[in-house]
Amino acid sequence: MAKRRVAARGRAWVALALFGFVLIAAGVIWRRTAGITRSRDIRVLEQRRVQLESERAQLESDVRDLSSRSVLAPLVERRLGMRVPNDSQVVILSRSRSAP
Amino acid sequence: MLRQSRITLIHLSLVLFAGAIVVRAAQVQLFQSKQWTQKAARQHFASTEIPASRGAIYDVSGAPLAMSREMLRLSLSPREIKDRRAVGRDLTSLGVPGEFVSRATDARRAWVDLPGTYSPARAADLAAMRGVYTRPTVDRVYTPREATRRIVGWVDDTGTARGGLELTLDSLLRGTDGHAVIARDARGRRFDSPADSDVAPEPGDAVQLTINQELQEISVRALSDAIAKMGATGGDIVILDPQDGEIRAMASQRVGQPTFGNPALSEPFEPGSTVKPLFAAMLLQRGLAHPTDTVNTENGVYTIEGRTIHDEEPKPQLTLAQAIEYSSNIAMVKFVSRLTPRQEFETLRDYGFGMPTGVPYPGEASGILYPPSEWSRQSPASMAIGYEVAVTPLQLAAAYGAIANGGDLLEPALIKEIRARDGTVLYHHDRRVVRHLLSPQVAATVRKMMVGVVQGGTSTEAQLARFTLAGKSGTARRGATKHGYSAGRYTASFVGLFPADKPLYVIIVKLDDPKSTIFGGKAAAPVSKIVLQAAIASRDAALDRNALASSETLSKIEDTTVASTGDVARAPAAPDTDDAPAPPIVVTLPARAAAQRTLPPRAVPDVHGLSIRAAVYALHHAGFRVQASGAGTAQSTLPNAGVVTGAGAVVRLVTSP
Repeated sequence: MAKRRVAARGRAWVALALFGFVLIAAGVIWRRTAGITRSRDIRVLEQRRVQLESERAQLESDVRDLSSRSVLAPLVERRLGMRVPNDSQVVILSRSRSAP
Repeated sequence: MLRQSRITLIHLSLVLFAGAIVVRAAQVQLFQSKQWTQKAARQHFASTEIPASRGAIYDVSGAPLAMSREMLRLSLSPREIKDRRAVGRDLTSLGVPGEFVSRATDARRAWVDLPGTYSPARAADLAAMRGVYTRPTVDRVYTPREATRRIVGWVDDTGTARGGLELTLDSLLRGTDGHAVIARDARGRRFDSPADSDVAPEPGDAVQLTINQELQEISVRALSDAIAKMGATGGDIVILDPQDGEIRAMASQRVGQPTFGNPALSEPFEPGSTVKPLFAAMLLQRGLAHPTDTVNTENGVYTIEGRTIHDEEPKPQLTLAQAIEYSSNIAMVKFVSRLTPRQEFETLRDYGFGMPTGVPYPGEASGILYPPSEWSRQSPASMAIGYEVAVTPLQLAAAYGAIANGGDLLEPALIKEIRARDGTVLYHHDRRVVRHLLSPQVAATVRKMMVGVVQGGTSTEAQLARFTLAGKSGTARRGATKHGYSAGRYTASFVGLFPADKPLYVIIVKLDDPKSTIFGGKAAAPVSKIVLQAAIASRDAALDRNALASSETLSKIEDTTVASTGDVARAPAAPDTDDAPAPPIVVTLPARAAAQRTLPPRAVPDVHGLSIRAAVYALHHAGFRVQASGAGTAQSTLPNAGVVTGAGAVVRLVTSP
């Protein structure tokens, strides 16, 4: 009777150990899977960042190009009839160095 | 018995099989482990190069002229592609040539590299497909492309610098590529390797030029219009700040002939009459002449050493000042004969002729200046009127810089500052005097003579309404392809010092072979007026408005004096209705505003890790306006830390909770 009780207890310990092993192994696998998933997400986000930065650089360049003198000057002369003023038509605001 | 032997045989087989497995395992693990580990690593991991961002190039006010952005190169493995129709459609929408679309979707091919680079945003869908492989690469964006191309240069599709400052400064701009280890799963999908063995790329240094983008664009357009209007075959404009030698604009154009590099630095020309003030200055400096000294100008025709020299405006006699004003060849030949050939040679050599200026640009020409031992008997007279010597427009501008700044020949500069990514200043341009040539009094006297050229001499068409301009025109015959000069072909040029009392610009305008008029005072001088008027009206053309305002006042006083003496020829031309002047108002603003507006461009400080309050304070303190939102700590800034940008620019603060 006592032998049978000892054997049952031994089997329980083995089962517990196996369960613990499975639990730890599952935890390790889950952690690794989660890590790989995060890594993949980070890569996707990094690619997205690169896409957006590249797009930003292109848009900024386009804005600078389109607002540059070489593009705007012919347009405003043709469409709005504007012209470069004579130097006598420009008022220069002088700044006093002695003023507080 | 038989049964026992069969069992033994089976056992033996099993033992042998197990033994074979153990032996093979031992072979793999103990003797071939390195080889198999490497094979596994090749299958599971890939090392990918991360290209370094090429350093940006800015103009003098901090406006970007060249920036880098990440692009993608695409390669396809047609055999791995599952949906060929979708791939073909995406490739077509990306603008890939039809020939390459066919190749990329041809299952018989193993690998296809597509030409060109593609925007990551536009290629995102394609890059996610199986069988499509991408490689990052850095592309260069130039703004404004045409106006600065000859100065900045360019980088080709492979990232190799091909010309201009991109080539000269390549070692500083290109940075150092990094690399990263990427893990691949069984389906070939990529993700970051858990092993932290990445080496981050080091971006290139940022370069700030002395060029002013606004002035450069003004010059390019004025030159282009003048070439079209005059029927010229080409031309150059150089604008130099004579006080510190910084080049503000350098435009060149050639019609119908391919040119490489920057002709304003690489193509010398015979300067003609524009050398006359340089000789006059040296005669005054050596005490060999006085502005009122008079010579007989032979009523416009004079023969010396078998060569007959003519004047466009025949006069019986002229002073040195009048010789400059009327651009008399005869008078200058006679005045310059007071110098020995050696002194004449030294005069031009001291102005920097015959040697490169030292600007860091590939292919700068040294010009032509022969030593007296190689001269003919006619050479002294020829050189006195700007022949038998050749200079680049930049050399001429640098020489006139000495007259403009009170006598110092300065080394011209194209690079203002070089900064590392962290904002450290690696190089900063400081005024560099090559040699002291003239006394301030002599320089002022020559400038006064040159004012006469614009107000009543050969270049009245350069005259401004409210500012005094000193100038000198030049009209020189153009050399033939083989020998001698071509009939009817001239180089028209004009040198202006603006404003005359304390010049902020030296402007050189040169037109090659103009058809409508050949004279520098008629063809090139009006171009300088157009450029200067646009620069005065411009919001940012590297002009010191305070200095300009005081010059304007002086000019008005001079105008009044001229008008009161009744010298109609020297009074400014009567303005037409369109050019009616605005009331002469000078508004005085407080000094504090001046201090804020004159702040130079600076690097964005590194605020990573600071609290938002501290980061905003640091950015404000550095002279930037700040756009911030959110809470937490400062993560980064846009533009990034270390980027040189204009004072008062908006810096966006990126925060993390």
